[in-house]
Order: sequence, then C-alpha cells, then structure tokens
Amino acid sequence: MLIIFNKTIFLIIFISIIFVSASDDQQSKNDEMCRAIRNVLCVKDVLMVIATVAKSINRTINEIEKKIRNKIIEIDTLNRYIYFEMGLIHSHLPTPQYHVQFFQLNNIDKVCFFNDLFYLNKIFVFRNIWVIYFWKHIMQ
Amino acid sequence: MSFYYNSIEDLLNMNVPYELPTNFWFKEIQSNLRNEIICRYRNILNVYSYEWPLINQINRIQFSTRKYRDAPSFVDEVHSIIITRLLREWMQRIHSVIINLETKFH
Repeated sequence: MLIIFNKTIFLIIFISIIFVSASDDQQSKNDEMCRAIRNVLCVKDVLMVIATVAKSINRTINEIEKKIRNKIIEIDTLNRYIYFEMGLIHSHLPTPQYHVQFFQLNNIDKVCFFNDLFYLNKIFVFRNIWVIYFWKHIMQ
Repeated sequence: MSFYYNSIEDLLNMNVPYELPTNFWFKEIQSNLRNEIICRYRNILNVYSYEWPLINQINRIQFSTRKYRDAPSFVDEVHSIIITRLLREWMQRIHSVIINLETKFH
C-alpha cells in the first residue's frame, strides 16, 4: 500500500515537472508584443504590407523632424549636440551588413533553373537568404 | 527594428515636465513598428519555423547621460532627431529590399 502511495506521489511530481517546464517554454517564446501569431497565406503580400508601412512611418518621421526644427531657434547648437551624440553611439548601432549582402547577390535562383537537381538547393537558398536576411535585418 | 522600438520606448519614458507634441507621433510610429512590422515579420518567421529574439533581448540606443550645460531642454529634441534619422535609414532599407526581392529571385 505504502509503495503504491509512494509511486503515485512520484508520478504526480513527475507530471507536474513536465507541465511546469512546458509552460516555461511557452512563456519564453512570448514577450507580449503580439496578440497572436497568425498563419501567413502569402509571404509576399505580407512583405508588401511591411514595405508600405515602412513608407508611411517615414512620412511620420518627416513630420516630427519638421516640427522639431520649426520649434528650435538655435539650430547650430542642436546640430552640434546631435553630432556629439552620434559620435558616441555610432559604434553600438546595428549595422546594415545583411542589407548590403542582399544587394551584392544577384540572380539567386537562375543557376538552379538549369538543373532539376538544384531544385532542393533552390528551396534551401530561398529559405535561408530570404528568411535569414530579413530576420537579421528587421530584428536588429 | 526592435532596437528602435526600445529606443522610442526610452524616449517616451523620459521625465519631462510637459507632454511633448512629438510624443503623439512617436507613439504612432511605435505601434506601427510593433503591430505592422515586427508582428507581421514574426508571422512570416513562424511559417518557416524560425526563432526570433524577444524584445527584451534586444539592445537600445545608449545615449550619453550628461546634461547639456547651455541647453538642458535640448536632450529630448536631440534624442528625437537622432532616432528619427536612424529609423528613416532603416525604413528605406526595408522598403528597398522588399521592392527588389522580385528582381533578385526571378
């Protein structure tokens, strides 16, 4: 009787450990930035939306700059401080290396078209270049 | 992008005695970055089952902590302009990469 009781306790502890670690896993993937991760039907469409949003953010940025520049009379002093701060933070900024690499590569899947054997390679290249570049690029 | 998301967060959390008129726009940019760019991008990464870094694992712009002697009220403006400048460059990069995808893969 005692042995069975012991075994059940062990089992309960074991199961609870599994559950706790599983919930930890889920929590570590979630930083409450996005409400839900949805499935994507067409990656290209989503990227186009991102491009459009990037453009509209730039319009807002122009508005902000205009507003600040209109408000401040001592533009020289402002520029001097901007220059000073830029010198300090410059080395810690994310670099656009993936962006530069992207524009150096050309005709990524052209070679693959000539040989069916390269088809798998093409998908591989596609997945990696597209995703890794963008991932690094946007998450920086 | 998360880098700039965090930097704007810092900017909005700066202790200024008055509400800055630009804060409204910065909030708009931040919510766009979050909902329209970072989250959409995570959706795409999810399709390819790639992991992404969490927002608190990403660094932010480390501005100097010293006060400007002759113009203490400038701090906010200087930070704002630096963030907007850098962010503009990145937005242009994202835009140009996405627009050029077609030419690279066909």
